[in-house]
Amino acid sequence: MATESVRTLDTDVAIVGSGGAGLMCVLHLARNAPELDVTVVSKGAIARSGCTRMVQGGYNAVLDPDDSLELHFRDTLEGGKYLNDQEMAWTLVNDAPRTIEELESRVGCFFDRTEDGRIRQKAFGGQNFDRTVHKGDLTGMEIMGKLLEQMERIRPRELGDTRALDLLFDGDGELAGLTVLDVMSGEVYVVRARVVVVAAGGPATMYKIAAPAREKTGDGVAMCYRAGLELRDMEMLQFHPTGLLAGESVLTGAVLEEGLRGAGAHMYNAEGERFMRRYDPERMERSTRDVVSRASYLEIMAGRGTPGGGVMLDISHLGPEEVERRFPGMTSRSRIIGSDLARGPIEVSPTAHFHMGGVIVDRDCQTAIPGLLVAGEDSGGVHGANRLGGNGVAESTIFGGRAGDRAALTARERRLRDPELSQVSGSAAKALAPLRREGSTNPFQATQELKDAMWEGCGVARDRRGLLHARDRIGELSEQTADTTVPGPREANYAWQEALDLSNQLEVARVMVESALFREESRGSHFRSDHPEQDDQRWLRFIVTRRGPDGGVEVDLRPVEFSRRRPDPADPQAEDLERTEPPGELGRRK
Amino acid sequence: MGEARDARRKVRVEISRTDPGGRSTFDVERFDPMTVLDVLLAVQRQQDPSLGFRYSCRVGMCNVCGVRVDGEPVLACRVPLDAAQEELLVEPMGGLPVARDLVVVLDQFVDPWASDESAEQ
Repeated sequence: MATESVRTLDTDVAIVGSGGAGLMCVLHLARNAPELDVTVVSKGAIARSGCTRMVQGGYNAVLDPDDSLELHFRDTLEGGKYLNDQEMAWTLVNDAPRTIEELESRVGCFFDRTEDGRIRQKAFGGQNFDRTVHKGDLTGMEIMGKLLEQMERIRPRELGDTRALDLLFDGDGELAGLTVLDVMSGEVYVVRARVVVVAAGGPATMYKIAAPAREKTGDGVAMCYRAGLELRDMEMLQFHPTGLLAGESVLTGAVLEEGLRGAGAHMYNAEGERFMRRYDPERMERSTRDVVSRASYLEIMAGRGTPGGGVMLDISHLGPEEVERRFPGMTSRSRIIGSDLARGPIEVSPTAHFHMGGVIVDRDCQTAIPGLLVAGEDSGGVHGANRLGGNGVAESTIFGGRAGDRAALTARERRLRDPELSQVSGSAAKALAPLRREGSTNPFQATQELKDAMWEGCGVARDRRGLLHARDRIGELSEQTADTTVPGPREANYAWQEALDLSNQLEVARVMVESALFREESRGSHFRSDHPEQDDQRWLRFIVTRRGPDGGVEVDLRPVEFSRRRPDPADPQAEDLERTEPPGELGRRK
Repeated sequence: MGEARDARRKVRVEISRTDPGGRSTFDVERFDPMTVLDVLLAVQRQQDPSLGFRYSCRVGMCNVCGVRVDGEPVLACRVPLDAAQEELLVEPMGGLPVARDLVVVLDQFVDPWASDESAEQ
C-alpha cells in the first residue's frame, strides 16, 4: 500500500450525502458564503440516491392559524415518548414553516394547494392537526428534483458514485478531511476540507424487510463512531407499519405511505378483524407508527397473519377513482406486484424504515469534533423513541440548511490540514482488502445473514435471549467478513461495494444491539417483550454509546433535559412553553 | 398463484458484459412477482457476484436502473416478468459510454442540459 501514491483534492467544505440534508447544506453555503469551494460526495448518483427522493406523504409544518408550534412540538414529544432532545425538537418545529416557504420561494417547489390557494395539509398518524404538506404522494421527488436544478445553478463540485470511507485527522488530532473511493474507477483518494458535513442517511437496510434505498447502510454513523463520537438512542429503529409484501422480490419492504391511514385506510388481520381496536381504540389505524407496527407484528406472531406473513391494508372503500387520484404513486406501486390498492386490500408488513438514533449534535449540527457537522438521519435526538410521519424530510431539509449556515462560518475559522499518512494508508488498505484476499466469504450471502439476524433478534419485538443471539451472530459475521473476498476488477464492482457496506452495517448493528440490550423497558419503537412496560422512573433517560479503547461498545445513561415540556400532562409546567428561540449554542463542545 | 409450481420454473437471461465482452447466459429460478431488477439481483447474489448494474430505490423513483430489455429502454425495477416469459435479453442503455456490464456513464447525458446558459445567473 505504501508504494501506491494517493491523490489529494482540496475543498473548503466536503458534504457526504446528496439527499435533502446534503443539498440544502449546499444551498445555504452558496447563499451565505458563495466564495467557498463546496464538494458533494455521494455514494450513488447525486440527488437520485438515498431516501429524500423516496418521501411520499410529506412534510409537517405549522401553517394554519388554528394550528400552533406548541401543538406540533407536543405531538413530536408525545410521539417520541419524551426521549427527544427538546432543543432539537423545538428547532425542527420552529424552523419548519419558514423552510416550507424557502422550498417554495427559493428552491422552486410547488406543493398541493386548496381551492382558495393555501398550501394543502393532510392528516398523518399521531398528530392532533392536519399539518402534513405534500405534493400528491410523491413529495420527495418534487423536493429533490428542484434541489437538483438548484445544483445546476450553484455548481458545487459533484463527486457522484463516490463512497466516503473514513474521517482523517492531522498529527494534532484536528479534523483534516476524509478518504473516498471512486466507485467507477476503484481509486481511493484523499479529500482535504476545512469542514466536513456528514449527511449520509440511516442504516435500516440491515433488516430482512426494509424500506430505504440501497445506499442507506449507516456509512455516516459508522464513520463518526470510528472517529470516537458519541451516539445516542441507537436502539430506536422505526418500523413503518405498511411495507409492501411482494414475496422474494426486492420490492418487499417498500413503503405504502402513511397518508393512506390518514385518509381512512383500515387494517385487518387474516380473520378479517380490524385489530387496531384492541391496541389503540381511540386512534385506530391513525395511531403512531410504533404502535401500529407492533400491533401488526403481534397479530402475525399470534397466528392471525396472512399466509405471506402480513396483515391487510384496505383503502378501496374510498372508491377506485378517489384512490387513484389521491395516491397515484402508491396505486401504481401496488400494480407492479399484481395487486391493486384502488380496488381491494393489499398485503403489508412492518418494514425497517428510519433510525431515530445517531450522532449527538447541537442545534447547529455541531459535534464534539471541531469542524465536523452531522445533519439528518445520521444525527440523533430530534425524534426520541419514535419519529412522526412527516417529521423526517422536515428534519433533513431543516438541519441540512442549518449545517450549511454553520459550515459557512466554521470554514472561515479553520484551515486545511495534512492528514496523518498512516491514517490514509490504513483506510485505503482496509477498503482494498476484499479485492486482494483469497478468502471464501461472499458479501451478498453475509449481508443476507445480517438481515435475518437483525430482523429476528433486534426487530419489532425484542427480548434478552434474542438480542444475545443477535450479538453472537453479528460477532461471527464480523469475524467471517475479515475473510470477505470479491471477484472482478476495481471498476464499478458492486460486490466490492456490498462488502464495504456490510462492514459499516455490522459496526452499526453491534451498537444498536448493545443499546437494545441495555434498555430494559419498552418505549416507542423499542419493544422488549420481556420488559413490556414503559418505566419512566428508571428509563426516561437516553442511552449514549461510544467506541471504547479496546474496540468494545461503551454504554452510558444520561437524563433527558426537560427544558421546555415535562412528560406529565397534568404537570402545570408542561404547558410552560417558550415562544422564542433561545440563544444559540454554537460553542458547544464536548 | 400456484407458487409450488412456479418455484421450480426458470427464466433464461442473457446479459451483455464488458469483461471480457460478449454476453453471459444465466438460468434463474422464477418467483412471483419478479421484476427485471429481481432477475439481475438473483444472478449477482447467487451466480456471478461480479455482474455490474446499478439500482437505488427499486420503486421507480430514482431512475438509475435504466437498461434495455429485449431492445426496449426501461427501468429494471418497473418491469415485471410475464407469467409465461421464459427468456429475456438485458443490455445497457443505448448511446452512452458503458462503464462496466450494464453500468453506463450518465454525465454526458446530464451535462448538455446543465451547460444551458440560462442556468448561469
